[in-house]
Amino acid sequence: MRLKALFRVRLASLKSSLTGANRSTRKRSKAQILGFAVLMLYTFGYFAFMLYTTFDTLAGPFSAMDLGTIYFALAALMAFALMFVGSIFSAKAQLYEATDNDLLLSMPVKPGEVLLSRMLLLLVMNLLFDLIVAGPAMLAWFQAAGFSLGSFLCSFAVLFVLLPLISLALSSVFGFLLHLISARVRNQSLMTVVLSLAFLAVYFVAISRMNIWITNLAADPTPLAHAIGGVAPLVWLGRACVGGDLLALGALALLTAALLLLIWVALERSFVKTATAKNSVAKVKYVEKAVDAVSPDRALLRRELKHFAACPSYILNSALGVIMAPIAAVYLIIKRSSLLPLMQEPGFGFLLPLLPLLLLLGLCFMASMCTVTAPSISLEGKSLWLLQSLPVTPRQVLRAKLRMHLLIALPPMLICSVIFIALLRPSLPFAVCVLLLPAACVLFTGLLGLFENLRHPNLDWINETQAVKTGMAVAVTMFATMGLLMLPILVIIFFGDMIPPVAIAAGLLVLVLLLCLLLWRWLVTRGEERFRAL
Amino acid sequence: MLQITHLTKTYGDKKAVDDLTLHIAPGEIYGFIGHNGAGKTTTLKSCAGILPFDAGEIRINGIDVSANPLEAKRVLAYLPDNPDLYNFLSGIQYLNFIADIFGVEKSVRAERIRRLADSFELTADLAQPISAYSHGMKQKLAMISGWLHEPKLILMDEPFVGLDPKAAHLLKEMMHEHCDRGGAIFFSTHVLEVAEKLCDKVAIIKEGRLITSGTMEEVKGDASLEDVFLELEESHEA
Repeated sequence: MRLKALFRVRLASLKSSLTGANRSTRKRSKAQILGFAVLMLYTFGYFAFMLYTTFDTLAGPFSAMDLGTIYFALAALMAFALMFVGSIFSAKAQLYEATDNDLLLSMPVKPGEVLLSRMLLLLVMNLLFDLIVAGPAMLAWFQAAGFSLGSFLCSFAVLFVLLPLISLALSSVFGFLLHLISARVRNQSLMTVVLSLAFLAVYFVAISRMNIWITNLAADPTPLAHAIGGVAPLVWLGRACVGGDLLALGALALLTAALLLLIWVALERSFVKTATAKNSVAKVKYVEKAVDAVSPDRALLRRELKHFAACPSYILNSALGVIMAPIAAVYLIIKRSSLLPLMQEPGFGFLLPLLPLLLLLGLCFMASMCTVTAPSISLEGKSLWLLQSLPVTPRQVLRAKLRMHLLIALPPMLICSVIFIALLRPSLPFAVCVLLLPAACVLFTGLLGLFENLRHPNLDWINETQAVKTGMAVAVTMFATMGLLMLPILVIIFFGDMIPPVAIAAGLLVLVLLLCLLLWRWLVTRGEERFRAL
Repeated sequence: MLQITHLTKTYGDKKAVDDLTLHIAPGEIYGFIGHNGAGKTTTLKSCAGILPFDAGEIRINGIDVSANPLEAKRVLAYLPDNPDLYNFLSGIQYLNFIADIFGVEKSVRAERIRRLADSFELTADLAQPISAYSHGMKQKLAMISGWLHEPKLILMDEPFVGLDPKAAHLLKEMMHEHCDRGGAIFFSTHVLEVAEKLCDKVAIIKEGRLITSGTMEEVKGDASLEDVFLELEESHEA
């Protein structure tokens, strides 16, 4: 009963952040919720389809060579990787850093029930990630190898019951370890960013090499079969999925139960101590120093930048475009010699005249992934009273947020533009577009982020990650900018042979600037009123 | 210093504050008493320029809060009941931020921070992030930030909650000093003994309407403030 109530609270918190049912905004209309659901389904479907095509490539050869065991082991490893990476930081935040831990622990509730309710939510997250990989994997396999009920039930039990539980157990224990480490590190923000970037680097390397690996695997699966054959649990997993081997299924279930039990006992016993522990970082002694007195505008900007730097989830979720832009530029320099011949190959030749425009749109796409302003109003949270009671205007506050966005996003984008011009040496009008268009896109995402966050603020979050990750403003800003960038693609497809690339780029630049002007007008009129009324 | 005239504020259909009129003169410590949900915080937030209101007028040092919010905010300090400050800043960074916003000179702010932080015994913790502060320490930091720009009017919502006895005593002294220099203080409290000893004037509010106000003697006479408050509450229920 109590567990049900606790789980309901967790779900309500998730629901309120998704549907906007909080004090700061009117409840979303059914149409808005439906729109958001469609957007989420689209994203989910897109990734699921991509993985389906991958598994479809593999299922035939693996089935023909009677290597179903290896196929399912590979699918399970991929699903596990996505679940684990996707939930490890949430595990840290949800289990040990929720602001209602003290409140719940003061109630006549067993600490284990609090922990279990949070782990159940993590399990739901794991299942969603799992569905993206395991669903397409099963579909592709049964299409290639034929359907059998026993095999289907066993593979369902393995991939949708046991595997998410294994991931839950391991992400919980790693969340615990991350919490312990971060409590002892002075610069937690930096550590989390570095760790997350390391995860991302591994992820991007895996994604970029996926095609090669899959092609090699489809051609010759024996090296993988040898590698996996040496790991007993993976073999049991494969056997259970392919042949409905109940003995293997039982062994795997026992192993999962033992792992869960072991980790549960360890986490449950230490939960109160860990969740209530104060940071053991040595206290910094205050030494009076001379300070610069700055203008209110500068002070507001400094405050925004300090907030940004102090929140790893803010950096990682909102500034990925900025992190990726210089990497893309360096990649462009390294791959320049191999990129051009590739484009001249038969079938790709028609793309050569469009190459500068496509690369420019790629740059703009990266700008659209920098959504620093989109959660910035939500992040004020319960401290919003300060900005409202201090002698600063809403315009000053919004301007400081926009300036932060520009300061973070513009320099890397401009560096990329300069590298772009130096490498491809486009015509002068196109070079002007290369300099201005990504910068205009940065300005557009900044303004759109403020616009969206004023319309969909979430000030009642439990931890900052929730405000950054589940806010509707972030998703809408990102997808709306990407949608805008689809326009020139459509122009290329339908009128590419009639309109020169430079005209398409210039047209997009004018459109983006016009939209920026409209957004700014809204922000300094109705936007200011909305901010006052928050 | 603070003139509230026919203030009305509604939330949906509910009148949180209903035709409230109060005048607070320079040098006065004015207590604001009422049960939970009576409209005290709404009134204080309206005075601080945080909440827009439906009718009436609020003037601070002659400045209309609705017409000139920035000018009005420059001469006041507002301290809420739960000091949710910026957890991503250290104590000293927060104080410097507030000083920058109010344009407090470099040398003046250094002296004030030193004096106030020493008084509240918070100096050693100023380099710590606010996220590491206890509720009482945050309360103290909020007090220091409130006094930093030497406002004319200080609005406080339950200022004694969470303060240790020494800090509470210091706060009372600071309130007296502030009013002796010609400033004014308007604060809400549920601690009637504190209000009785500290305030020059008091106002009692119920369901958004003013029940009574005046000097402490006018309101309570020979009885205790607690007796008067309970009696007034009951008589207005009847």
